[in-house]
Amino acid sequence: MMQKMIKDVYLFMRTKVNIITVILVLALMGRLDLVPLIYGITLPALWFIQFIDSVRKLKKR
Amino acid sequence: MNVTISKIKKSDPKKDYDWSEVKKDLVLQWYSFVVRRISVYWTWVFARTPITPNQLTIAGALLALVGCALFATGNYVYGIAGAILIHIFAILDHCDGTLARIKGMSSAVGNFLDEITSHVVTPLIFVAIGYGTNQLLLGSIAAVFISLLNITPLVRDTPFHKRWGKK
Repeated sequence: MMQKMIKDVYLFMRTKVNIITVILVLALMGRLDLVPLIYGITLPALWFIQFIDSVRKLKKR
Repeated sequence: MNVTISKIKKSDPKKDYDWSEVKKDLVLQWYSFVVRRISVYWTWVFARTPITPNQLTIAGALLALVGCALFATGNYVYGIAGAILIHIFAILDHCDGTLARIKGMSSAVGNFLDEITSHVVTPLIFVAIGYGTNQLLLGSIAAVFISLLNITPLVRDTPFHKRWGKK
């Protein structure tokens, strides 16, 4: 369940079309200042999760 | 060139997606509406002109750069205009591949251009927004990590394809 949720968030955050959709919505709200805040925190976290995951897969080999 | 809408739809490599997944997800619906449906008609128009797919890719990249410049101003109206230009870039990005398949002009250079524009523009959007909102550090961090996520080979075969699934 947790893994599926992380995968969903991961997919949502890194897909280009989703990114530009979020940017359009925030631009319409006049809150473009939230974009660096949201992505500047979540993207490193997601990369870190992915990194841990790939290290675990390498160890299993 | 005699090209029909149905021929364009058939040439889409993503036509085999499991569309029942799309109905469950608002963002995927938005994607399917904005990028897929609109790009089909735009491709139909472009197929009747002498425009080449590479020219379309370069035009899209230039539009995206203008969009990034508008983001960097930090103005509300320019921000919306920038977001719309970035959406047009996404549609053109989808059009060029389809146009190349229809016109039989697929090439390694075109593929490289298509890839490189996506990889350059997406991080640049974050840097531009960061600059425009006085959060250049966070914007740059986002740009670096979206690049890392994009170039990591493990990413390629994990989420997107599994999510959509194939029939």
